[in-house]
Amino acid sequence: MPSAAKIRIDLNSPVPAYRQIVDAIRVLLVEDRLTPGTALPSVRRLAMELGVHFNTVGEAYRELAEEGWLDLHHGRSALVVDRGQRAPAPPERLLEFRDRLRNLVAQMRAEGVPSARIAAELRTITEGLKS
Amino acid sequence: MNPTALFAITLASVCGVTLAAPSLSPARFLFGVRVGAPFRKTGPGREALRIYYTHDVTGIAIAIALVFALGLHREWTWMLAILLPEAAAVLGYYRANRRLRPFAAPADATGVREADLFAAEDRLPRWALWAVPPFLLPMAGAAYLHAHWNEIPARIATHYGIDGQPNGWTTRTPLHLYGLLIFAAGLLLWIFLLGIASYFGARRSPGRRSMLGVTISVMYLMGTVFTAAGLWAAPHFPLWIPVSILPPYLAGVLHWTYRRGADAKTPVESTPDECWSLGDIYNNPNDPALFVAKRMGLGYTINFGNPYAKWFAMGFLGGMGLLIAFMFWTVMGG
Repeated sequence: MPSAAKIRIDLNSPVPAYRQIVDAIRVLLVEDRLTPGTALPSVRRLAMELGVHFNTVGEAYRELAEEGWLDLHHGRSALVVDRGQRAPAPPERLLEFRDRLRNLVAQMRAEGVPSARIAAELRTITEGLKS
Repeated sequence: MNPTALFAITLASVCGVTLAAPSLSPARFLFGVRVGAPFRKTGPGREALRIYYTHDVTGIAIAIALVFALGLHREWTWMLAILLPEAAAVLGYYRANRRLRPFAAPADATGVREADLFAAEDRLPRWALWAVPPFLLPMAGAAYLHAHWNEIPARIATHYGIDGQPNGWTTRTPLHLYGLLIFAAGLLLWIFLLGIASYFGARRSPGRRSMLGVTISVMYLMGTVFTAAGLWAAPHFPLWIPVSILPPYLAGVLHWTYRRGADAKTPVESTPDECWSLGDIYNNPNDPALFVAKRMGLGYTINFGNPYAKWFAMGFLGGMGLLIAFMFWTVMGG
């Protein structure tokens, strides 16, 4: 198990804790830092480490399972599974992503980040995500 | 041993702990309030320290005056003199805590939490097996008593006044003689279970392993002290062992705690300020941890917001109550 697989959340953030957990774990999954066969901590243990309610972690695990990343067996750890080759997202989903991305880029521009820098950041992130 | 010397050693140990207390927390906390390391040298920081030390030193002065005025002939004087500095320190702590609350640092940085994503089973470290040898101490004590059984008189003093004269007696029976050693074994088990509970009930951190180590060292201390005390009826009662071992042990633990707190690299558990009351009482129903690191001194405190907290507290306090009742029943005359 790679020792670098850590997640970080901010309890004071306006983003709900379960959403932060889902996003953080998904990044690790997409970057192949959590590979198929890896067991994640139990809901109880991860909730304790993050200082959040059990249901918060349970909800996050369920969402990742629905996306096909995790296999949840009652009484056992959540297991990372091989999702296989996914079909490309439908056009309406792509539009949704584009809206979210546009909002984020606008926010970055509003806070003074130059366009070239934003483009470079997006390229670096895209190249880092292998799957 | 001279009762006055015994009293002086005990009082000096208590005073040492209370006087050192403000320096035993991580540098960024003062009296349980997150104020940042340099705050101690500011006006309000010095004022809070002055409040605490005024209470503590006053308690110590009253305790010493009480002993000089009333002497050590009565047990309650003895007990009161030991408890007064502690009570005064607790009062000073809470008053200093209240004074510092308006200066608490913003909670912005305290909400960040990090966790390793590995599912390895949470196990005790292998060196936790060092918790086993202390159990051999009361067993060795029992073997010693058994070997010298015939040298023990049929009627033995069980209780002594502060003047050193016996004022309680019992007969030589296995229950009376081995009672304190059985109590010692029970106490060791109690400490060990508490150590295990706080290990598994707390978040993973380097401090968690350190605390387990301290707990095991306490088992050695208590095993030695109570095994020595359990030999009260033996031909050569080694009272000097518990009396001489306690001050250096306390000094060592205080020194280690001070250095740990002063080291800026010592990780501090992130807990919301608003969930701490009276400085060291934690109540956070949204935090599933049963134990969290204390903000002052060494060790963990229970999260009273956890649904298991009250059952845990009742079980462990009940266990200690039963042990003490057993000790009085067996040693103090059955």
